[in-house]
Amino acid sequence: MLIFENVKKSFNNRLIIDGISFKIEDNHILAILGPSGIGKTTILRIAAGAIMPDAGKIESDRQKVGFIFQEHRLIPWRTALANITFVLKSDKRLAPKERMQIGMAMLERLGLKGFEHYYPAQLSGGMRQRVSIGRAFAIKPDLLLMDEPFTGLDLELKASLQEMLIELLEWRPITMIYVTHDPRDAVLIADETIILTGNPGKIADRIEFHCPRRERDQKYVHENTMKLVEQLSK
Amino acid sequence: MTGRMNRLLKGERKESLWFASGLFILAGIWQAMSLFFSPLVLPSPMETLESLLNLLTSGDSRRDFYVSAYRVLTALIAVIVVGTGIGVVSGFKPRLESLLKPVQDILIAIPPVALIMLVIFLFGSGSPQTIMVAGALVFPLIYGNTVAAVRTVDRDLLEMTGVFNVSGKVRLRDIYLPSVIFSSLPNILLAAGLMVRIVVMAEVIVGVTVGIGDALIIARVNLAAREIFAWMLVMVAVVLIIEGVLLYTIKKYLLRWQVQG
Amino acid sequence: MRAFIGSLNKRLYIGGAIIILLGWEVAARTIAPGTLPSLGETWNSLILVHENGKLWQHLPVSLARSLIGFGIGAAIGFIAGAPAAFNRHFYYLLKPLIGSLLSFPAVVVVMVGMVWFGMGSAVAIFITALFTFPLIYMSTVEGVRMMDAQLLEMAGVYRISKWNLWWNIYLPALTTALLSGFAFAAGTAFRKTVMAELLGSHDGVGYALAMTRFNLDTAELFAWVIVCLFVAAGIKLLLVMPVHKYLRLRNPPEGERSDWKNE
Repeated sequence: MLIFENVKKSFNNRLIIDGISFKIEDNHILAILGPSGIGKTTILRIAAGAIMPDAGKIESDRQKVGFIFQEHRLIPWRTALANITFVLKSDKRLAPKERMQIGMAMLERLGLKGFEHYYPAQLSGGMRQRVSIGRAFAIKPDLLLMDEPFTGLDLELKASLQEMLIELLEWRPITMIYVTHDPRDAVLIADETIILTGNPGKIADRIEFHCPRRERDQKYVHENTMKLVEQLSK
Repeated sequence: MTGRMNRLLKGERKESLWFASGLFILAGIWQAMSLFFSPLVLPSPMETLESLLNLLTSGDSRRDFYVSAYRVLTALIAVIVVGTGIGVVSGFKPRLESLLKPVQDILIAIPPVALIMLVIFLFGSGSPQTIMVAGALVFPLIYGNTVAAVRTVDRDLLEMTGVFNVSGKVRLRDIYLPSVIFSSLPNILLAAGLMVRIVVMAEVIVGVTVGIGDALIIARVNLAAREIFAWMLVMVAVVLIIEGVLLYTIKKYLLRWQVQG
Repeated sequence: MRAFIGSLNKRLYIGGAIIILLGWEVAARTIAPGTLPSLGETWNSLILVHENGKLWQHLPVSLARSLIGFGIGAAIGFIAGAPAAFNRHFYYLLKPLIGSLLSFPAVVVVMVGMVWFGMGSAVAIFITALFTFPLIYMSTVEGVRMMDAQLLEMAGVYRISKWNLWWNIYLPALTTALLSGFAFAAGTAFRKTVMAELLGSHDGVGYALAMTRFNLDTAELFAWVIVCLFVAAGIKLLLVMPVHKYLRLRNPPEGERSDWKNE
């Protein structure tokens, strides 16, 4: 669970976000939609605990936070498997053998069986992003933050990655904030979407999607995307 | 330096043709010019090779070579260990770096010959002193680049480790150390070639009793240009071999993870 | 050229320098006074060298040799570098020559030079020129390599005349690279001159350095070392720093490099 209450943040005397309030129930997904530069990443950083808000309250029971960046940020000199076991090292309770098992299982789930000992340079862009996503899921986070992870990928690749993401979420539901500028992304996976506009960034609208993720078909996605696009252009 | 390394790694073939032609032309000019001068001034390529053969078969010369090689290796290892060690600490502590900067600046600014003379005065002339001064001259290169390597570790990677709450020890071992080592490789290559030249120079000025420097001094006194040229070939060959071997091991074992061509 | 990353803590820098000076003074007093001259003795020696004319006898000679050698080396480097920069075949043709020059141990070349020219100015100038040449050559080649490919493409599209091309694109790029090459080579030129003089001349700073060994005059040795440091500092202040400032002003734009070596 994560609650933001009237959060404000400034940088260099410039107010970036103002009056941000939302509540995410356990294992629910919030999408934050808005144009670039509006403060979406700032909200993520505050949620991660990396920076403190200037005003407002944050309530959460987060212990472990997972982060999926726009760039894959894999360690170039470690294999795919090693990249996943790397973040598992923070969990003192896991023995090296257990870390390996978790890593191998995760890679299989990501569809990367056979590529465990490949280095990032030997993997395709899509595969690298898959490892990056799997890495975040592997630590069993209480909160998962995603910062436009599919930007810049071609549509086919993006579709397959999003499908994989939905499968992972079925397997391991997580409380998640998903930041994007593409409304279709929000419709595909979010339970609730907030639209950020203006300078400073404020919540312009809140939309909920009650249809279970599995059942969101083309028609549903298309309709709701149009709705969001309308909202965005206001 | 990295560019040269990458090019060697890619193993371009078309350019090798022109390179080889350049080599032949060079040898040709050398041969032509040697006809005009006495062998005491400019020995021909053949005479040099003959002299080289004599060197390789002479027990004394081989001993000179081994002694110098030993000095080069010792100084190189010492400088890498000390330079990287202090460099890493300085990398993390800018204050230490500022404190040490006068030393760095002096070592860079001082003419190498002056430093060698300084060491001779203070510590005498001999083998250990030669090694020491050679190390001191190459130290700024390794140290400076290690500090830079620590500072230029990928920030995105570091942010990632922060977000995933990775411990400092793990961060050091999996991110900092490999990053610094990989950044330092071209400079270690450079340092190896440099060390050969500097050790021989130190030997000549210090006036050691055994080693390539000693052989050179004797050759000069005897006006044996042939021998000087032969030793020159030896040194160039040694530098090429060291760089070749290092390059090979680096490419084969340490840089497996890099993009292939 | 190594960049100093991070800001310099001026106080600690001066502090470090003072520690070195203090350590020197302490060592000079406690360890056999005959070996290490104290700061005072060194200073006196410096004055002495100036007063008895030695400084003015040797320093100008060395500087002159450096300058001449540098000039010759740079000129040849540029003349060879220009065609090599534009024609890759020529570049690879010259590569063995440049490569060998860079890997020859300087001492050996000095010895060869001594066999050829005997002792005197010729050796020093020869060595300086020989070691400046590859540096300026490389700078010239790099300079052309660095030219912004986009600018060149733009020039092609607008069918800019050869003259215009040269004046506005090639020349600035060349001068930029040349200047930074000059700055770097200037530092090494003086050092090479001194080394050549040490072994092969009857005057000059290098010779003076060699003589102190026979006189066992440590104080004078230190004095000459300080002279060298001053020259190095002088070159840095008068040449290197202005060049860097100038280069930073021009600041080559980010873009693809016209890099036929990587084709």
